[in-house]
Amino acid sequence: MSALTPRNPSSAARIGELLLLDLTMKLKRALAFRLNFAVNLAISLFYSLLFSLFQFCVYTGIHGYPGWSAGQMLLFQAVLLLWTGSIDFLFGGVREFIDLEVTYGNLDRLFVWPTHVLVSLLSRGTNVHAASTVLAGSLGTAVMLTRLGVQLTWHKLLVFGLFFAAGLVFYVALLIAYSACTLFMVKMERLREVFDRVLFFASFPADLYAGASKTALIVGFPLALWVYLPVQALLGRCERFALLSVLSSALSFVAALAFWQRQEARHVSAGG
Amino acid sequence: MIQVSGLSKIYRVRARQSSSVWHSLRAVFSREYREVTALAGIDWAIREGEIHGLIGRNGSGKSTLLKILCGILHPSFGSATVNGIVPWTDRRRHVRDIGVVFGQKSQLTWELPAVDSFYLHRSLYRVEPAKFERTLRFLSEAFDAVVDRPVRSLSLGERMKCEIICSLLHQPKLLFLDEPTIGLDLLAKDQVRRAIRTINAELGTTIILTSHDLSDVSSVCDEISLLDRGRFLYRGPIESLLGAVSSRKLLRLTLREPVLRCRWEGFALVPTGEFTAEVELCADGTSLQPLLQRLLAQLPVSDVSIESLQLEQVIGAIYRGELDASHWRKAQPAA
Repeated sequence: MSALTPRNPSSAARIGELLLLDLTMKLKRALAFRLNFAVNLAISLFYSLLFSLFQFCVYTGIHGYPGWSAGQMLLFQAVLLLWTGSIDFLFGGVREFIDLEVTYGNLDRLFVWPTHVLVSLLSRGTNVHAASTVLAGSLGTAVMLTRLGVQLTWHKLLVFGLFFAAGLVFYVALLIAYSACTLFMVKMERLREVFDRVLFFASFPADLYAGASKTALIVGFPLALWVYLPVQALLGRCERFALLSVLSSALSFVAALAFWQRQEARHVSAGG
Repeated sequence: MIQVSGLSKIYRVRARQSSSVWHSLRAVFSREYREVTALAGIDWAIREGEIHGLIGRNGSGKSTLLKILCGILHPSFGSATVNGIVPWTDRRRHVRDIGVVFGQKSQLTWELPAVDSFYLHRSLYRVEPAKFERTLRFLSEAFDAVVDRPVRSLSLGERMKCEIICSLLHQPKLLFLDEPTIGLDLLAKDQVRRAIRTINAELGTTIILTSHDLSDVSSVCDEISLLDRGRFLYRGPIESLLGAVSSRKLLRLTLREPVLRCRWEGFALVPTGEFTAEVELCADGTSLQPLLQRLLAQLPVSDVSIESLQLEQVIGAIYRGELDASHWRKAQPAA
């Protein structure tokens, strides 16, 4: 377990190195079929923008969200684009990868690589097509910050980075739990949909949820780390107790790792 | 190199009594399991530098044994060390010194030239660039392989050569080859076999080969282990196995009359054509002559050839229970 913890810098560097390698390979593959690559880039961006448009329609339809101006809402959507683009770019193919590997008994090859199986697994799901969404999200965030006249201080950027990184750790924890479930369930199918539906809650500001639900979203099951808290950090209106979400994310990661280790020891590969 | 002692693997699998819908529905609420013993307390030892054939029927436990030795599976009982390392407890250190080729599972990227996958492999195993280039050059020549064309455009034989090259780039001390010639034509098989021998001779790599094609095993292996139902039936040199049945001969006969009309008292003629047949004899050197005299007297023979049993026939006879495996236990060397 220790080899994967963020405290181990060599392990973090190794994950980064392997992600880069996977990205390079995927880019080469994508460029081998240039037209398909261009179409996929456009479609990936289109889908991401479609959700932002849908949310903006909801926002105007119900005459705004409590405590959110139209400009702030657009900033929220830009960060949402950045977030969805980032996780899709880094881990977009992980769930499909483990589903296929476990179903067809190919997971064995990850066990013969000289890295932790999870490191190999998590670094095999990059999606180069999501680069367009990351770019659009970054650009949108920069534009909205300028238009809103937000003064960016080191403190704000640091808290934004902390929440964003903790959000990634929480997302990885969920992916690890999903992968561990796949090891013993093999067919995830509808559970995969449930996973997506749960993540959908993170696409709206936590202020929309009533008292206990909001606390649960920030501390208990910290989906707010993905978009809501980073945006709050940029707008300089973060509450102190939100820092508990970082702790919650770290604990989720440790629990997911323990669950994985348990399932890995029981792993029985398919086929001969 | 490999030391295995009392190794067992027991799988817990769902017991299905029937394929009916009723049984499927009942299984939702109450499911019964049974235990399947894949390996039953085996002992095994492999020397450094050896090419060893691991053979057995489907479901005999070969793949389970390989997967345990690769660190993929944990055994139920027993111990094993490879290069002094327990594979499943220290997997990452262990796999640096082994190479694995699963004949039916590719490690190459389908859309890219194999050489791109090789560079990924170099980074994974952190192989020094100069050493990597030297090894790649040597292996490409040894296998006469095409490494710069997309894998999807390679023939099965070319792809398999690239798979083996990929598994050897970090110069492992031990190479597991699981059915490396499956689906290959005769020429490709021959190339792969020659390359395996070259790798063993030049790099000193210990090789464990599993294959259902016994001509692979007999042409490259020094020794074999025959596994059946999780137990070894034989471990030792191929010559010892064949030597133990040297008194058994295979007669190939060409007759002047149709085989179905011919009869040889006391022996079963196995037709291989309208006028050709085979018959297996169990005779020591002194009793072959009178048997042949009887044969020529009773049958209208136009041609006859006498052969010793081939490995395929010996293994087949053991599986069919026609030969007692305990026969060789006395002859087999201590592991």
